[in-house]
Amino acid sequence: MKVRAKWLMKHPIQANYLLIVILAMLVPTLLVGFCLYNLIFNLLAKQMVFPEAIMANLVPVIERVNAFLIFTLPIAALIILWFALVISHRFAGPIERLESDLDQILAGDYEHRVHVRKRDDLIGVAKRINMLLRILRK
Amino acid sequence: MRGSSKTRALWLILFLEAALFLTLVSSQCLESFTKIPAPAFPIVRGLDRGAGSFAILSRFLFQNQDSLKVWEEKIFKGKTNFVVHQESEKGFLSAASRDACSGLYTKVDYEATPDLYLSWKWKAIRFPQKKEPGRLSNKSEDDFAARVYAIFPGSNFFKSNVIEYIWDENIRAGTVTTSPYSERVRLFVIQNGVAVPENDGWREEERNLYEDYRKLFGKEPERPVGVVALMSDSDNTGTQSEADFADFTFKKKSTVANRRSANEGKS
Repeated sequence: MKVRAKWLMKHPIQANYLLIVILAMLVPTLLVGFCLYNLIFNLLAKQMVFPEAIMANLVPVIERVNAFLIFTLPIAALIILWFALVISHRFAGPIERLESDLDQILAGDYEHRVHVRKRDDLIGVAKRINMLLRILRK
Repeated sequence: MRGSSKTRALWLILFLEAALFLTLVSSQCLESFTKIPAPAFPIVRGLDRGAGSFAILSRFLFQNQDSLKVWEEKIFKGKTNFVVHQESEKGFLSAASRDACSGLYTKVDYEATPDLYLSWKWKAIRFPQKKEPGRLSNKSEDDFAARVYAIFPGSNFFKSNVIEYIWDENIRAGTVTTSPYSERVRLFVIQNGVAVPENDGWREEERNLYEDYRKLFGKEPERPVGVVALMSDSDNTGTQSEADFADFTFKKKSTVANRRSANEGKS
C-alpha cells in the first residue's frame, strides 16, 4: 500500500476543508467541555452552600483540574489538528490529483489516464473519465 | 454553488453548537426549579400584629423536630448535633459540636431593600478553645460557637457575597474582617463573651441586611438574599462548641409604620 508522501497540499481546497473539520471538531469539544466544567463545579458549589466548604474542598479540586487541563488541552488540540489534516487530505487529495491529471490530458496527452487510489472517494468519477477518454479515442 | 453549500454547512454546525450550548446552560437553570424547598410547615407569614412596625415575610420557628424539615444539613467534618427543644411554649434549636462541622441552611429569596430585616435569637453556651483567640480571620482556627450566614448568591455560587454574623468568646462586638477563605465572605462579630444570665442568656438580633451589606462590602446589594444558614463548629480546633438558636424571621418595616414614623417626624 502506498503511503502518502505529504499531508499538506498547495491546493486551497484543503485549507477550506481543514477549516471546516477544525470548526466541526474543536469548537464543539471546547464548548461541551466548557459547559460541563461550569455545570459540574457550579452544581457542586450550589450543593455545598457554605463558602468555607466551597473554598476548602471544591477550589483545590478545581485548581487540580485546571492544572490537568493546561497540559491536556494542547495535546487534545494537536490530536484534533492531526485528524483534521488527515480528513481534509482525504477529501482534497483526490481533487488535486484529478485536476493535475485532467490538465495533462488537456495539454494533449490523450493516452494519459486519471489515477486515484482505490479507497479514494472520487474513484467512480475517475473510472468514468477514463471510460470517456477511451470512447473519444475510438 | 459550492461556496453556498459550504456556508450552509458552517451555519448548520454553528447552529448545532449553539443549540448544544443552550441546552447545557438551560439544564443548569433547571436545577433551581427542581430543587423546591421543603414544605414551609413552621413558617408563619403575614403581618405580625405583636411587632407592630414590621410585616413578617417568613418565620422559621423551632417547635418540634419536624421544624427542621425546611432546613437542609451540610456535613463537612463530623456532625454537629442539632436537636429541637421545647422550653415552655417557645422552642429552640440546640447545636452541639464535638470536633465536628456541619450547618443548617434554608433557601429564601428576598430583595435586600433598606426595609428588610433578619432577626433571630441565639445563645452561645460553649466556645471552641483557640490558641490564638484574638485572631478573627484564622484558617487553622476557623471555629465559632455560633454563626449565622446571610448569603447573597451571585451568577454562580463562587461569586456569592456572604455576611457571617458571629458570636465569639473574646473578640469584641463590632469587629469586621474578611474570611481567610474568600474576599467575598465578611466576618462580622456582633456578640461576644459568655451568655449573661439575664434573659436566660438569650440575645435577640435584628439586622438590617441592606445596611450591613453596604457597611461590609461598600456597595448596595445587587442580588437578593438567597440563603440563611447557621452553624456551630469546632473541627479546626478539635474542641467543642455549643449554641442555641431560635426564631429566625425575615421582616419588612411595614408601610403603615413607615407612614406613622414619617408623620411623627413632620409633627
